[in-house]
Amino acid sequence: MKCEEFEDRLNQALDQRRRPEWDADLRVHCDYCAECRELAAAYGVLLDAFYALATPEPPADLSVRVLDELRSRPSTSRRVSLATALVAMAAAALFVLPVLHSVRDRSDEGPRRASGPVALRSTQRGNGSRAGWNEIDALPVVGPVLVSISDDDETTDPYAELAKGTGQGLASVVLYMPSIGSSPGMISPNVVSGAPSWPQRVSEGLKPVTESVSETLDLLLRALPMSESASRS
Amino acid sequence: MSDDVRELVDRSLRGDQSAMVELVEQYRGQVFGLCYRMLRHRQDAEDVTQESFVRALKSLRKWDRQRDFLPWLLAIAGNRCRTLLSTRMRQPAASPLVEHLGDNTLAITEANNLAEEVELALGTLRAEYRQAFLLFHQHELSYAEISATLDCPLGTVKTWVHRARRELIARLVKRGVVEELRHEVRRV
Repeated sequence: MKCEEFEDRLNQALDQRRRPEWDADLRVHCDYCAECRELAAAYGVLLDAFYALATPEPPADLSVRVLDELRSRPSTSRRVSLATALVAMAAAALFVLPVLHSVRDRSDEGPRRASGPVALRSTQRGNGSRAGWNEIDALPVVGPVLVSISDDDETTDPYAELAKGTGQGLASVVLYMPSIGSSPGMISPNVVSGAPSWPQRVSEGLKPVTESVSETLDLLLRALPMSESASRS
Repeated sequence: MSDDVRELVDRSLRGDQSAMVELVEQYRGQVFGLCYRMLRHRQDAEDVTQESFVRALKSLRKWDRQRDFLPWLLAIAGNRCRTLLSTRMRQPAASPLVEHLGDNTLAITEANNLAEEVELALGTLRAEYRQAFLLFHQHELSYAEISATLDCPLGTVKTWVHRARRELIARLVKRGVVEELRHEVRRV
């Protein structure tokens, strides 16, 4: 054995929980190599001292303290249930509150006229009151659906204009999302690929989705205590 | 692993407090031993031991019944220790670690025997090396068990244990506890 291999062999012996002197090769090498013998001795000193270390006794009342601590903390399952319930309520609110907003807005403002060449039947995308949609229902819906709802009578949306020109061959869908802003806006998809994309033009007052979500959550959280007190009564 | 532990776990899961007490009593020495050697501070070790048992009892359902209970429990304790150690690193003023003693005469006088020197040297190791070393030499876990406990490859665990041994010896040499070695120590 070479000296370069000695330490690795020494560690291998220790890894197998064997004393180095039990390894014949190590022992023979140590017989004629003083440097490696010193190294083996150092390992021996270290481990002998380590095994001689006394570990202090753990506190006698540990189990009592652990049980006390367990009692003082709410159970994980209950916390998870509450969290799950909150998430579920928030998710539900994300769908319900915007619809309510939409209904309220429309009833406040009266029927809103749809502009653009092809209008959506309320039965196809029923995301609110049917008020004001009767005339839209009368329009033919052919091919890809384009919905454009704006406060302005005349839309300046380039995609809508394009749609006017191309009629039923237009492969685009404009999604109307009344829940997102305080006033309705138009979100245009990517006309070329047909894939949805963020709006190129946004009506004034349209808010980012994240802002809308946080507002909705805020509304929900404000409503929670009221709900609880209502359920108690 | 004996079925006794599984039974204790089952009873604990049903809310039997006497079973929880039995579990704590059965393993408190090993958990506290690890925490004490990792943290080198009795009060911190007691707190972390308590916290480890609380966490273990609250997440008993996560224990893989095909595996031994002790490595799983020690993994929780080790993680808590490492968290505390990293907190100490961010707050050096409050740290009781050995490094702050330095190599001054006072420290030598205080640590006037080999056991204390080894204990001091342990405190200078990186947390991963120390934990792997303690799990191997103190708790006599196999490399495979340590690998599962620390969630790292077996080869890495071996390297950590070897480095821990080497660094401890280097520390003892530096402190004059062990004679200067003429053997060229290779890097692992």
